[in-house]
Amino acid sequence: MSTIALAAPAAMPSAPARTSGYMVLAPSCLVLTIFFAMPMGTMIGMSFMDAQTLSPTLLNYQRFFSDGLSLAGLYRTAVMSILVAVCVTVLGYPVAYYLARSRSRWRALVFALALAPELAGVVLRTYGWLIILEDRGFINDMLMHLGVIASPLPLSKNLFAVVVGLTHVVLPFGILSLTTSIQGIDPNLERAAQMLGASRLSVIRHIILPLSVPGIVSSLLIAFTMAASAYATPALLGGARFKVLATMIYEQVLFYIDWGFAAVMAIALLIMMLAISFLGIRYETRRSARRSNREGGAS
Amino acid sequence: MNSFDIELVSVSKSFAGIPVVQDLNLQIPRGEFVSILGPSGCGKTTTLNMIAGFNTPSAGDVRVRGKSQNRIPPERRNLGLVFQNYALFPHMTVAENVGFGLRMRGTPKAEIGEAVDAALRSVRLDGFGSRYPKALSGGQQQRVALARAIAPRPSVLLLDEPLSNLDLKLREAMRVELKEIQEQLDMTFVYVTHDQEEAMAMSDRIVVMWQGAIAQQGEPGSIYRNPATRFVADFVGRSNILSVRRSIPGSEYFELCIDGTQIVLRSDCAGNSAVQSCCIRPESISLLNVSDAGTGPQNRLDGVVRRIVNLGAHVELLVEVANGLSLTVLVPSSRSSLVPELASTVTLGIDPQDVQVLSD
Ligand SMILES: Nc1ncnc2c1ncn2[C@@H]1O[C@H](COP(=O)(O)OP(=O)(O)OP(=O)(O)O)[C@@H](O)[C@H]1O
Ligand SMILES: [Mg+2]
Repeated sequence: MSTIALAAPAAMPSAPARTSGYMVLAPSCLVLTIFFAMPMGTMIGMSFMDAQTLSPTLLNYQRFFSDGLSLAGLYRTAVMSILVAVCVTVLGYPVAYYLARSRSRWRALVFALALAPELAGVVLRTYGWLIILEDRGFINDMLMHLGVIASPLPLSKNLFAVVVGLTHVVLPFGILSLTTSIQGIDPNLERAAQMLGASRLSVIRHIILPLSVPGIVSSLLIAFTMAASAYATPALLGGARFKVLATMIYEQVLFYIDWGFAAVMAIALLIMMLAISFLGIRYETRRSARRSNREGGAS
Repeated sequence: MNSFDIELVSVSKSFAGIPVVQDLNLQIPRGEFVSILGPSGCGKTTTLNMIAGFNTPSAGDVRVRGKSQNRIPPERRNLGLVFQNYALFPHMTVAENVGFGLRMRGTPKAEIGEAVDAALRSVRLDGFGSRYPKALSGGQQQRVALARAIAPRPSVLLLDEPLSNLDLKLREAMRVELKEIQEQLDMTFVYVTHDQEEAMAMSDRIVVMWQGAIAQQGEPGSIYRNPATRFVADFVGRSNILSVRRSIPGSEYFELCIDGTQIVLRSDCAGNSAVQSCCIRPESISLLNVSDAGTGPQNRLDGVVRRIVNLGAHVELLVEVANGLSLTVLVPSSRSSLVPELASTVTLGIDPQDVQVLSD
C-alpha cells in the first residue's frame, strides 16, 4: 500500500519528460535524413549504376580495383593523411602542453596565435604556401639568389607541399583536442612524480604522454579524416602531379561526368576513414577498459 | 650539521603583491611529527609548497638539513609528499605507483620489488600490487599514496590534509596508523591540517598558523591548556572566551573584571594590566551542589540553564550567569544525576588555574 503511494508521484513527472526527450531529437533526425542519409543512399545507388545506360552494374567497382590509378590514388591519400596526422600531433603537442599548463600572461596570446589561422580560410592559407613553395616561389627564389642551388627544388606539386599545407590547415584542431586532453590531467600527478624524483622530461614521458593518449588518438583521427577529405589544399599544392582521391573524384564528376565511378571512389574514401576511426576508437576503449578492471595485467 | 631537518628562516610569500605567508620562522627537529594547524586559507599549503619546492619564497630561506634549498628543484630535495586527493597515477598499478620513486632513482628491478612489498606491507595492503587505483576504496588509495611516498625513504614526509577525504571512522583509524608508521620509520613528518583533533592526536608538536604567521607552537597538551592568544583558544578545542575589562594584580592571583557584568574571576595566570580576554575550557567548569558551599573552587557563579545539547558522551549546557554573559559547560553524561533540567538554577565552580589569560 504505502510503497505504491510513494512510487506513484515519483513516476508521474518522469513520464512526460521521457517522450519529450525523443521529441527533442526530431529536428536533427529530420535534418540528418535529408542532408546526410539521402545523399548517402543516392551515392551508393549511383555506384552500382552505369553512367550511360543507367542500368545496374558492378563495372564501376571492377574498374576501381583493376585500373591501377584508383588504388594508387587511395594509397597516396592514405600516406598523405597519415603524414599529416603525425605532423599535426607532433607539432601540436608542445603547444597544447603549454596552453594546458601555463599560467603566464602570454598564454592568451599563444592561444590566439594558434587558432588565428582558422580565421583566414583554407584557400587563402593554401595560396600563401603556394607563394612560398612554388618553383618561382619565395624559398626557391631566395636559395637561387644566394647561389645555394642552380635550379628550383621540387617544393610544390608533390606530397611534401600538400603535407605542409594540410598540416597548417589542420593543426589548430589537433592543438584543441590535445589541449583539452592535457588539461584533464590532474597537475598534482606531475608534482607527485616530481616529488618522487622525476625530472621534467621523465614527468612528460611517464605521466603526461601516457595519460594524454586519448587526446593523441583523437588528434590523429581528426587530422587523418580532415586531411583525407580535404580538397582545396591538395588541389592547389598537389596539382595534376600529385592527385589524391578527393581531387580525383572532382575530376571524374567535372571532366568525365562519370558519377558512378566518382561514387565508388567516394565510398572507398569513406570506408578508409571509417576503418581508421574504428581502429582508433577500439584501441582507446580497450585501453581504458583494461585500466578499470579490478585486477590489472602485469604488475 | 645541526639536528633540524627543516628550517624556515624569515620566509615570506606573496602572490601578486598580496602577502600570504609573512616572516615565518620554524625549526623542525629530526624524527618529529609536527603539525601545521590553521583555518582554511591561512597559508598552510603555500608553506608546504615552499618546503617541497613548488613555490619559491618571496623572501627568506628554506633549509633542509642545514642546506639552503632556494635553488634546488623539488625532484632533488629528497622529500616525500602525500596529497589531499592522493594523486595516484591512474595508468599504473599499485605496485608501479609505489615503485615509481625508486625507478626514477635508477634502483635495480629486484630491489624495487622488495621495497614495494615492504612499503605495501607497512600500510597493510600486501596483495594489492596488481590492482589499478580505480579499483580501490578511498582509504586504500590513501594508503597507496602513503606507501608511494615512503617507499624511496625520503628524509622528510610532507602531508597536506591527507585524511580529509575519508569518513570519520576511517580517519580516526588512520590517525593511529600514521603515527605508528612515523615512529616505525623514524621519519620526520610535517602534517598540514585544519582539524585540531587530528593534530592533537598525532603530533609531537603543533604549529598553529593564522593569517600567514605562526600564532603559537608547542606540545599539543600545552597548546590546549595554555593558549596564548584569543585566536588559538578559539581555534584549538572549545572554549568560553570572555572579554576582560580590567585586571587587578593580587598577591596570589589576578582578579579579572569581566566586561559588561559585575563578575570578578580569579586566575592563577601571570598577566598584566594589558590583559583583554581570558579563556575557560567548558570541561573545566564544574557544577556545584548546595552542600559544597564554602569548600571547592574559588570562583563560584550562579546561573540559569538556557540550553541542553546531548553530545553522546557529554552533555553541553549553556548557562546564563549574568545579563548577556553565558558560559558553555561540558558535563559527562555518565553522571546523569549531575545533569540539571532546563531553566533550573545551578552554581558553577571554576578553579583559578583554569582561567587562562590571553594576550590579545
Ligand atoms: N597561486 C596562487 N595565486 C594567488 N593566490 C594564491 C595562490 N595560491 C594560494 N593563494 C592564496 O593564498 C592564500 C593561502 O592559500 P593556501 O592554499 O596556502 O591556504 P591553506 O591554508 O592551505 O588553506 P586550505 O586549508 O583551504 O587548503 C589563499 O587566500 C589563497 O587564495
Ligand atoms: Mg591547503
